[in-house]
Amino acid sequence: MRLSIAIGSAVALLGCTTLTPASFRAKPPEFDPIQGGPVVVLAGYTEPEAWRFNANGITFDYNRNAFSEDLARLVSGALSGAGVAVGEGGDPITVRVVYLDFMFQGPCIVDYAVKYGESAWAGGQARYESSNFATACREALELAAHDIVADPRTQLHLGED
Amino acid sequence: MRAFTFFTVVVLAAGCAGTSSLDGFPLPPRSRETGAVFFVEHQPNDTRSFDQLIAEAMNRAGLRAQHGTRPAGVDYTVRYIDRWYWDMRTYLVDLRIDVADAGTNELIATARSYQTSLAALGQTHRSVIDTCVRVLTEGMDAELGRRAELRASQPSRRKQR
Repeated sequence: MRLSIAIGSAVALLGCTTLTPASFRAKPPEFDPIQGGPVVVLAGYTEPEAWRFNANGITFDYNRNAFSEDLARLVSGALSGAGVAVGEGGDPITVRVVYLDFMFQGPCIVDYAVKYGESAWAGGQARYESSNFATACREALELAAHDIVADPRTQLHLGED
Repeated sequence: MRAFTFFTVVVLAAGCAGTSSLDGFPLPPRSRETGAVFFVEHQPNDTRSFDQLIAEAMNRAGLRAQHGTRPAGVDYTVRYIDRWYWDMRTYLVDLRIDVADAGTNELIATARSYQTSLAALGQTHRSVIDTCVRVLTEGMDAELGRRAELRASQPSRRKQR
């Protein structure tokens, strides 16, 4: 029995755990008031959605589309927090997480892509240095949302009728 | 029975934790078929001329890669992150090579090789670069298949004696 508990604990600690956005609990970044809108922030989807995340030799599974949805939540939250009307019927901004990665002892790297209406995808990368992958990835996800909102193309899109 | 369970769990856990890993996704076919120009950007902290080594490896793989001064008409930008660690000697613990569309900056391919100190024995940073370039040009499955074939073709030390 003790052996089973020990084995169960070892598997729980070392096994292929799944990372979800809840693993990082990123929060929408804060901005001063922004004029413009209305917009709707959508999640774009990537195939294959299931991928691996390697943190210092420990491999986790994650779903890229779940992180795209979380990035959409962060961007949407940042815009609405800044006073932009966000909701259905607005001009669409589509965001997706292309790749999520953690280098040895940091940084965490979030590669993302953004599309304004029917425009082509534009790519970006957010990095945050920390040897703690949970901290590094939470900050990198928030930085990705920050960079998308602060991007002049987003500001231009918000100002368009 | 206990021993069997224990070893099964150890084997399963070892497949997910604390091992070397290879990850990424390859270049889309259009980027390899049209004679596109790749430019490897030098990273400011790099003192080992990785930009030159990566460009050379990509050229050996049949791509048109350049480094140094950025020429006009670049189709794809190549960036890298190298992480080194000291364990009785300094070795390349982690290398990631990204390829982004020069026009949109969207990540179109990436390769990452993480190796433990033990796994890095007998490897050079040039061989790790070659591995990453093979992931970019041929994909993960081809590289893993190539490794499996190499292992199968090597007689065990016991047999050699």
